[in-house]
Amino acid sequence: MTAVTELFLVLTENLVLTYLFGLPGLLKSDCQPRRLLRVGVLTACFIFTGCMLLAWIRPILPAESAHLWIPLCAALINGMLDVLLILLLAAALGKKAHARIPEIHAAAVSSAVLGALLLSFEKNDTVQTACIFGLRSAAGYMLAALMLCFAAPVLRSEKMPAAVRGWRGMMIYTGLLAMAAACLSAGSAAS
Amino acid sequence: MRLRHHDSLPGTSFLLRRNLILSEGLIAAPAAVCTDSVTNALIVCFVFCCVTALTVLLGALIPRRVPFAIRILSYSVIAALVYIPTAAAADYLFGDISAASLYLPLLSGGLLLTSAHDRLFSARRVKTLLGRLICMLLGVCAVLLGMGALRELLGAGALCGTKLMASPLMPVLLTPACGLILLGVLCAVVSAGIRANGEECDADDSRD
Repeated sequence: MTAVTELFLVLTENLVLTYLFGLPGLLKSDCQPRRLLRVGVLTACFIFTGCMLLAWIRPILPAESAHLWIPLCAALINGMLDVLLILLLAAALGKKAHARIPEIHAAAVSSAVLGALLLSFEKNDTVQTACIFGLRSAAGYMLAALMLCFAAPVLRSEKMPAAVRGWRGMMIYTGLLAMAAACLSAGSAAS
Repeated sequence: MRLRHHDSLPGTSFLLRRNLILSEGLIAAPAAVCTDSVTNALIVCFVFCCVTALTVLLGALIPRRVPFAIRILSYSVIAALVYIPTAAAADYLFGDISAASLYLPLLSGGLLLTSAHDRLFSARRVKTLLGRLICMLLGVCAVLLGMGALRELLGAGALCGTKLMASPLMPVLLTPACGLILLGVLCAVVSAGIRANGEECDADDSRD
Protein backbone atom coordinates (compact mmCIF):
# COMPACT_ATOMS: atom_id res chain seq x y z
CA MET A 1 0.00 0.00 0.00
CA THR A 2 2.89 2.34 0.85
CA ALA A 3 4.46 1.67 -2.56
CA VAL A 4 1.17 2.50 -4.31
CA THR A 5 0.82 5.71 -2.30
CA GLU A 6 4.41 6.66 -3.11
CA LEU A 7 3.86 6.00 -6.84
CA PHE A 8 0.69 8.11 -6.73
CA LEU A 9 2.60 10.95 -5.07
CA VAL A 10 5.48 10.71 -7.55
CA LEU A 11 2.96 10.81 -10.41
CA THR A 12 0.94 13.75 -9.11
CA GLU A 13 3.65 15.81 -7.40
CA ASN A 14 6.75 15.97 -9.52
CA LEU A 15 9.15 18.48 -11.03
CA VAL A 16 7.32 18.75 -14.37
CA LEU A 17 3.64 18.64 -13.42
CA THR A 18 3.76 20.46 -10.07
CA TYR A 19 6.60 22.96 -10.50
CA LEU A 20 6.77 23.05 -14.34
CA PHE A 21 10.58 22.80 -14.18
CA GLY A 22 12.51 21.61 -17.20
CA LEU A 23 9.77 22.32 -19.72
CA PRO A 24 11.94 23.95 -22.44
CA GLY A 25 14.19 20.86 -22.46
CA LEU A 26 11.23 18.55 -22.95
CA LEU A 27 9.51 20.86 -25.42
CA LYS A 28 12.68 21.21 -27.50
CA SER A 29 12.99 17.45 -27.94
CA ASP A 30 10.75 17.91 -30.99
CA CYS A 31 8.10 15.54 -29.55
CA GLN A 32 10.22 12.56 -30.65
CA PRO A 33 9.58 9.74 -28.14
CA ARG A 34 13.14 8.32 -28.22
CA ARG A 35 14.71 11.75 -27.80
CA LEU A 36 12.25 12.59 -25.01
CA LEU A 37 13.25 9.39 -23.21
CA ARG A 38 16.98 10.10 -23.61
CA VAL A 39 16.49 13.66 -22.28
CA GLY A 40 14.45 12.20 -19.39
CA VAL A 41 17.10 9.62 -18.46
CA LEU A 42 20.01 12.08 -18.71
CA THR A 43 18.19 14.78 -16.74
CA ALA A 44 17.21 12.23 -14.07
CA CYS A 45 20.91 11.27 -13.71
CA PHE A 46 21.91 14.92 -13.26
CA ILE A 47 19.09 15.51 -10.76
CA PHE A 48 20.04 12.57 -8.54
CA THR A 49 23.79 13.25 -8.60
CA GLY A 50 23.31 17.02 -8.19
CA CYS A 51 21.02 16.67 -5.14
CA MET A 52 23.54 14.32 -3.51
CA LEU A 53 26.56 16.55 -4.16
CA LEU A 54 24.75 19.75 -3.11
CA ALA A 55 23.82 18.18 0.23
CA TRP A 56 27.46 17.16 0.63
CA ILE A 57 28.82 20.72 0.14
CA ARG A 58 25.91 22.38 1.99
CA PRO A 59 27.83 22.89 5.29
CA ILE A 60 30.44 25.11 3.61
CA LEU A 61 27.86 27.54 2.14
CA PRO A 62 27.16 30.79 4.05
CA ALA A 63 24.00 30.13 6.10
CA GLU A 64 22.26 33.50 5.58
CA SER A 65 22.73 33.88 1.84
CA ALA A 66 22.95 30.21 0.83
CA HIS A 67 19.99 30.46 -1.56
CA LEU A 68 21.89 33.05 -3.63
CA TRP A 69 24.83 30.69 -4.10
CA ILE A 70 22.85 27.64 -5.25
CA PRO A 71 22.84 28.61 -8.98
CA LEU A 72 26.64 28.93 -8.83
CA CYS A 73 26.98 25.58 -7.04
CA ALA A 74 24.60 24.01 -9.57
CA ALA A 75 26.58 25.47 -12.50
CA LEU A 76 29.85 24.10 -11.15
CA ILE A 77 28.45 20.67 -10.17
CA ASN A 78 26.58 20.19 -13.44
CA GLY A 79 29.48 21.54 -15.49
CA MET A 80 31.88 19.00 -13.99
CA LEU A 81 29.35 16.18 -14.40
CA ASP A 82 28.75 17.29 -17.98
CA VAL A 83 32.45 17.09 -18.88
CA LEU A 84 32.87 13.78 -16.99
CA LEU A 85 29.89 12.21 -18.74
CA ILE A 86 31.12 13.34 -22.17
CA LEU A 87 34.58 11.87 -21.50
CA LEU A 88 33.04 8.58 -20.31
CA LEU A 89 30.73 8.43 -23.31
CA ALA A 90 33.57 9.22 -25.71
CA ALA A 91 35.65 6.44 -24.15
CA ALA A 92 32.77 3.97 -24.42
CA LEU A 93 31.27 4.84 -27.81
CA GLY A 94 34.09 6.59 -29.66
CA LYS A 95 32.91 8.79 -32.56
CA LYS A 96 29.30 7.71 -32.05
CA ALA A 97 29.29 9.78 -28.85
CA HIS A 98 29.31 13.07 -30.83
CA ALA A 99 25.63 12.75 -31.68
CA ARG A 100 24.72 12.52 -27.99
CA ILE A 101 26.85 15.42 -26.73
CA PRO A 102 24.25 18.19 -27.34
CA GLU A 103 21.70 16.16 -25.37
CA ILE A 104 24.13 15.86 -22.46
CA HIS A 105 24.71 19.64 -22.53
CA ALA A 106 20.94 20.26 -22.63
CA ALA A 107 20.39 17.97 -19.64
CA ALA A 108 23.25 19.59 -17.69
CA VAL A 109 21.82 23.10 -18.06
CA SER A 110 18.18 22.02 -17.76
CA SER A 111 16.12 24.11 -15.38
CA ALA A 112 14.73 20.82 -14.04
CA VAL A 113 18.13 20.07 -12.50
CA LEU A 114 18.53 23.58 -11.04
CA GLY A 115 14.93 23.51 -9.80
CA ALA A 116 15.43 20.12 -8.17
CA LEU A 117 18.58 21.39 -6.44
CA LEU A 118 16.71 24.45 -5.14
CA LEU A 119 13.87 22.30 -3.82
CA SER A 120 16.31 19.79 -2.35
CA PHE A 121 18.15 22.58 -0.56
CA GLU A 122 14.88 23.87 0.92
CA LYS A 123 13.57 20.49 2.02
CA ASN A 124 16.59 18.43 3.03
CA ASP A 125 19.32 18.80 5.61
CA THR A 126 21.28 15.57 5.30
CA VAL A 127 22.93 13.73 2.43
CA GLN A 128 20.67 10.72 3.02
CA THR A 129 17.38 12.67 2.75
CA ALA A 130 18.77 14.60 -0.24
CA CYS A 131 19.58 11.29 -1.98
CA ILE A 132 16.04 10.03 -1.40
CA PHE A 133 14.63 13.36 -2.62
CA GLY A 134 16.90 13.24 -5.68
CA LEU A 135 15.81 9.70 -6.49
CA ARG A 136 12.14 10.62 -6.07
CA SER A 137 12.48 13.77 -8.20
CA ALA A 138 14.37 11.86 -10.89
CA ALA A 139 11.66 9.15 -10.93
CA GLY A 140 8.93 11.82 -11.13
CA TYR A 141 10.71 13.56 -14.00
CA MET A 142 11.09 10.24 -15.85
CA LEU A 143 7.39 9.42 -15.35
CA ALA A 144 6.34 12.84 -16.64
CA ALA A 145 8.65 12.41 -19.66
CA LEU A 146 7.06 8.99 -20.28
CA MET A 147 3.56 10.50 -20.11
CA LEU A 148 4.60 13.06 -22.72
CA CYS A 149 6.16 10.26 -24.81
CA PHE A 150 2.78 8.54 -25.15
CA ALA A 151 1.16 11.69 -26.53
CA ALA A 152 4.14 12.83 -28.62
CA PRO A 153 3.30 10.95 -31.87
CA VAL A 154 -0.20 12.47 -31.95
CA LEU A 155 0.98 15.94 -30.99
CA ARG A 156 3.43 16.08 -33.91
CA SER A 157 1.13 14.37 -36.44
CA GLU A 158 -0.70 15.99 -39.34
CA LYS A 159 -3.96 15.53 -37.42
CA MET A 160 -3.02 18.48 -35.22
CA PRO A 161 -3.68 22.00 -36.54
CA ALA A 162 -0.41 23.58 -37.70
CA ALA A 163 -0.53 26.30 -35.02
CA VAL A 164 -0.51 23.81 -32.13
CA ARG A 165 1.52 21.03 -33.74
CA GLY A 166 4.68 20.00 -31.88
CA TRP A 167 5.96 21.77 -28.77
CA ARG A 168 3.04 24.22 -28.57
CA GLY A 169 0.56 21.36 -28.34
CA MET A 170 2.84 19.67 -25.83
CA MET A 171 2.80 22.83 -23.70
CA ILE A 172 -1.01 22.85 -23.61
CA TYR A 173 -1.09 19.07 -22.99
CA THR A 174 1.39 19.46 -20.09
CA GLY A 175 -0.80 22.22 -18.67
CA LEU A 176 -3.82 19.90 -18.76
CA LEU A 177 -1.81 17.10 -17.11
CA ALA A 178 -0.58 19.55 -14.47
CA MET A 179 -4.15 20.62 -13.75
CA ALA A 180 -5.27 16.99 -13.45
CA ALA A 181 -2.33 16.23 -11.12
CA ALA A 182 -3.15 19.27 -8.98
CA CYS A 183 -6.81 18.19 -8.73
CA LEU A 184 -5.81 14.60 -7.83
CA SER A 185 -3.30 15.63 -5.17
CA ALA A 186 -5.71 18.21 -3.72
CA GLY A 187 -8.48 15.61 -3.70
CA SER A 188 -6.29 13.04 -1.94
CA ALA A 189 -5.17 15.67 0.61
CA ALA A 190 -8.79 16.63 1.31
CA SER A 191 -9.89 13.03 1.82
CA MET B 1 -1.12 42.77 -43.80
CA ARG B 2 2.30 41.11 -44.02
CA LEU B 3 4.99 41.48 -41.41
CA ARG B 4 7.59 43.95 -42.63
CA HIS B 5 11.31 43.80 -42.17
CA HIS B 6 13.04 46.90 -40.83
CA ASP B 7 16.54 47.10 -42.23
CA SER B 8 17.64 49.87 -39.89
CA LEU B 9 16.76 48.01 -36.69
CA PRO B 10 18.70 44.78 -36.24
CA GLY B 11 16.92 42.05 -34.27
CA THR B 12 13.37 43.41 -34.48
CA SER B 13 12.16 39.90 -35.35
CA PHE B 14 12.88 38.96 -31.72
CA LEU B 15 10.02 41.21 -30.60
CA LEU B 16 7.35 38.84 -31.92
CA ARG B 17 8.30 36.48 -34.76
CA ARG B 18 11.25 34.99 -32.86
CA ASN B 19 10.05 35.95 -29.38
CA LEU B 20 11.93 33.83 -26.85
CA ILE B 21 8.76 32.81 -25.01
CA LEU B 22 6.11 32.71 -27.72
CA SER B 23 8.18 31.35 -30.61
CA GLU B 24 11.05 29.53 -28.91
CA GLY B 25 9.27 28.15 -25.80
CA LEU B 26 12.10 29.26 -23.48
CA ILE B 27 11.70 30.36 -19.82
CA ALA B 28 8.29 28.67 -19.81
CA ALA B 29 8.21 27.87 -16.08
CA PRO B 30 8.77 31.42 -14.73
CA ALA B 31 6.44 32.77 -17.43
CA ALA B 32 3.66 30.36 -16.46
CA VAL B 33 4.04 30.44 -12.69
CA CYS B 34 5.26 33.91 -11.73
CA THR B 35 2.97 36.00 -13.93
CA ASP B 36 -0.05 35.75 -11.62
CA SER B 37 0.18 39.50 -10.97
CA VAL B 38 1.78 42.53 -12.59
CA THR B 39 4.10 43.01 -9.60
CA ASN B 40 5.42 39.45 -9.78
CA ALA B 41 5.82 39.78 -13.55
CA LEU B 42 7.79 42.99 -12.98
CA ILE B 43 10.15 41.19 -10.57
CA VAL B 44 10.76 38.44 -13.16
CA CYS B 45 11.33 41.09 -15.87
CA PHE B 46 13.88 42.92 -13.72
CA VAL B 47 15.89 39.80 -12.86
CA PHE B 48 15.65 38.42 -16.40
CA CYS B 49 16.83 41.68 -18.02
CA CYS B 50 19.76 42.17 -15.63
CA VAL B 51 20.96 38.56 -15.71
CA THR B 52 20.54 38.09 -19.46
CA ALA B 53 22.03 41.42 -20.52
CA LEU B 54 25.10 41.16 -18.28
CA THR B 55 25.68 37.47 -19.08
CA VAL B 56 25.43 38.04 -22.83
CA LEU B 57 27.76 41.05 -22.75
CA LEU B 58 30.32 39.32 -20.53
CA GLY B 59 29.91 36.05 -22.46
CA ALA B 60 30.76 37.88 -25.68
CA LEU B 61 34.29 38.32 -24.31
CA ILE B 62 34.90 34.54 -24.32
CA PRO B 63 36.81 33.63 -27.50
CA ARG B 64 35.10 31.35 -30.02
CA ARG B 65 38.07 28.99 -30.15
CA VAL B 66 37.30 27.85 -26.58
CA PRO B 67 35.62 24.38 -26.77
CA PHE B 68 31.80 24.45 -26.66
CA ALA B 69 31.56 22.40 -23.43
CA ILE B 70 33.84 24.86 -21.61
CA ARG B 71 31.98 27.86 -23.09
CA ILE B 72 28.66 26.49 -21.81
CA LEU B 73 30.16 26.02 -18.36
CA SER B 74 31.54 29.58 -18.48
CA TYR B 75 28.17 31.05 -19.48
CA SER B 76 26.49 29.16 -16.60
CA VAL B 77 29.05 30.39 -14.09
CA ILE B 78 28.82 34.01 -15.34
CA ALA B 79 25.01 33.92 -15.14
CA ALA B 80 25.11 32.42 -11.64
CA LEU B 81 27.58 35.08 -10.49
CA VAL B 82 25.49 37.88 -12.02
CA TYR B 83 22.39 36.43 -10.34
CA ILE B 84 23.77 37.03 -6.81
CA PRO B 85 23.79 40.89 -6.87
CA THR B 86 20.70 40.95 -9.11
CA ALA B 87 18.60 38.92 -6.65
CA ALA B 88 19.86 41.06 -3.78
CA ALA B 89 18.91 44.21 -5.73
CA ALA B 90 15.45 42.79 -6.54
CA ASP B 91 14.91 41.99 -2.88
CA TYR B 92 15.88 45.57 -1.97
CA LEU B 93 13.79 47.23 -4.71
CA PHE B 94 10.61 45.15 -4.52
CA GLY B 95 10.61 44.35 -0.81
CA ASP B 96 9.30 40.81 -0.87
CA ILE B 97 10.28 38.49 -3.71
CA SER B 98 9.33 35.28 -1.92
CA ALA B 99 6.41 34.61 -4.31
CA ALA B 100 8.83 34.17 -7.20
CA SER B 101 11.94 33.15 -5.26
CA LEU B 102 11.94 29.53 -6.42
CA TYR B 103 11.75 30.53 -10.09
CA LEU B 104 14.11 33.51 -10.20
CA PRO B 105 17.29 31.38 -10.06
CA LEU B 106 16.02 29.50 -13.13
CA LEU B 107 16.52 32.71 -15.12
CA SER B 108 20.26 32.34 -14.56
CA GLY B 109 20.32 28.83 -16.02
CA GLY B 110 18.37 26.97 -18.64
CA LEU B 111 18.85 26.75 -22.36
CA LEU B 112 18.78 30.48 -23.17
CA LEU B 113 22.08 31.46 -21.58
CA THR B 114 23.85 28.20 -22.35
CA SER B 115 22.96 25.87 -25.24
CA ALA B 116 21.02 28.50 -27.20
CA HIS B 117 23.52 31.28 -26.39
CA ASP B 118 25.71 30.84 -29.46
CA ARG B 119 22.73 30.49 -31.79
CA LEU B 120 20.98 33.61 -30.50
CA PHE B 121 23.90 35.87 -29.67
CA SER B 122 26.39 34.97 -32.37
CA ALA B 123 26.52 38.48 -33.86
CA ARG B 124 30.01 39.80 -34.55
CA ARG B 125 28.92 43.44 -34.84
CA VAL B 126 28.29 45.24 -31.55
CA LYS B 127 25.30 47.09 -33.04
CA THR B 128 23.65 43.84 -34.13
CA LEU B 129 24.32 42.15 -30.79
CA LEU B 130 22.91 45.08 -28.83
CA GLY B 131 19.93 45.37 -31.19
CA ARG B 132 19.10 41.68 -30.77
CA LEU B 133 19.56 41.82 -27.02
CA ILE B 134 17.36 44.89 -26.54
CA CYS B 135 14.62 43.51 -28.81
CA MET B 136 14.75 40.12 -27.06
CA LEU B 137 14.43 41.71 -23.64
CA LEU B 138 11.60 43.99 -24.79
CA GLY B 139 9.75 41.07 -26.38
CA VAL B 140 10.05 38.90 -23.26
CA CYS B 141 9.07 41.75 -20.90
CA ALA B 142 6.02 42.59 -23.04
CA VAL B 143 4.82 38.97 -22.89
CA LEU B 144 5.47 38.64 -19.14
CA LEU B 145 3.77 41.93 -18.26
CA GLY B 146 0.86 41.24 -20.64
CA MET B 147 0.29 37.83 -19.09
CA GLY B 148 0.60 39.30 -15.60
CA ALA B 149 -1.98 41.99 -16.35
CA LEU B 150 -4.41 39.55 -18.01
CA ARG B 151 -4.16 36.92 -15.26
CA GLU B 152 -4.43 39.46 -12.44
CA LEU B 153 -7.40 41.18 -14.09
CA LEU B 154 -9.37 38.00 -14.88
CA GLY B 155 -8.11 35.88 -11.98
CA ALA B 156 -8.17 38.40 -9.13
CA GLY B 157 -10.30 41.22 -10.58
CA ALA B 158 -7.46 43.68 -9.93
CA LEU B 159 -4.64 45.44 -11.73
CA CYS B 160 -1.33 46.35 -10.06
CA GLY B 161 -2.99 45.56 -6.72
CA THR B 162 -5.94 47.92 -7.29
CA LYS B 163 -9.31 46.16 -7.10
CA LEU B 164 -11.33 46.76 -10.29
CA MET B 165 -14.03 44.08 -10.12
CA ALA B 166 -16.26 43.02 -7.24
CA SER B 167 -15.70 39.35 -8.02
CA PRO B 168 -13.00 37.87 -10.28
CA LEU B 169 -14.18 36.29 -13.53
CA MET B 170 -11.74 33.32 -13.69
CA PRO B 171 -9.88 32.68 -10.41
CA VAL B 172 -8.49 29.44 -11.86
CA LEU B 173 -6.25 31.55 -14.14
CA LEU B 174 -4.00 32.22 -11.15
CA THR B 175 -2.91 28.56 -10.95
CA PRO B 176 0.41 27.53 -12.57
CA ALA B 177 -1.32 24.89 -14.73
CA CYS B 178 -3.71 27.48 -16.17
CA GLY B 179 -0.78 29.84 -16.68
CA LEU B 180 0.90 27.17 -18.81
CA ILE B 181 -2.28 26.51 -20.81
CA LEU B 182 -2.70 30.28 -21.38
CA LEU B 183 0.94 30.48 -22.48
CA GLY B 184 0.45 27.54 -24.86
CA VAL B 185 -2.64 29.19 -26.35
CA LEU B 186 -0.76 32.50 -26.78
CA CYS B 187 2.08 30.64 -28.53
CA ALA B 188 -0.44 28.96 -30.84
CA VAL B 189 -2.16 32.27 -31.65
CA VAL B 190 1.16 33.95 -32.47
CA SER B 191 2.22 30.93 -34.56
CA ALA B 192 -1.08 31.04 -36.48
CA GLY B 193 -0.69 34.79 -37.01
CA ILE B 194 2.85 34.40 -38.35
CA ARG B 195 1.78 31.57 -40.66
CA ALA B 196 -1.12 33.68 -41.94
CA ASN B 197 1.35 36.47 -42.74
CA GLY B 198 3.78 34.15 -44.53
CA GLU B 199 7.10 32.85 -43.18
CA GLU B 200 9.66 35.45 -44.14
CA CYS B 201 13.15 35.24 -42.71
CA ASP B 202 14.47 38.60 -41.58
CA ALA B 203 17.81 39.41 -43.10
CA ASP B 204 19.06 40.96 -39.86
CA ASP B 205 19.06 37.52 -38.20
CA SER B 206 21.88 36.30 -40.37
CA ARG B 207 23.61 39.61 -40.85
CA ASP B 208 26.53 39.69 -38.47
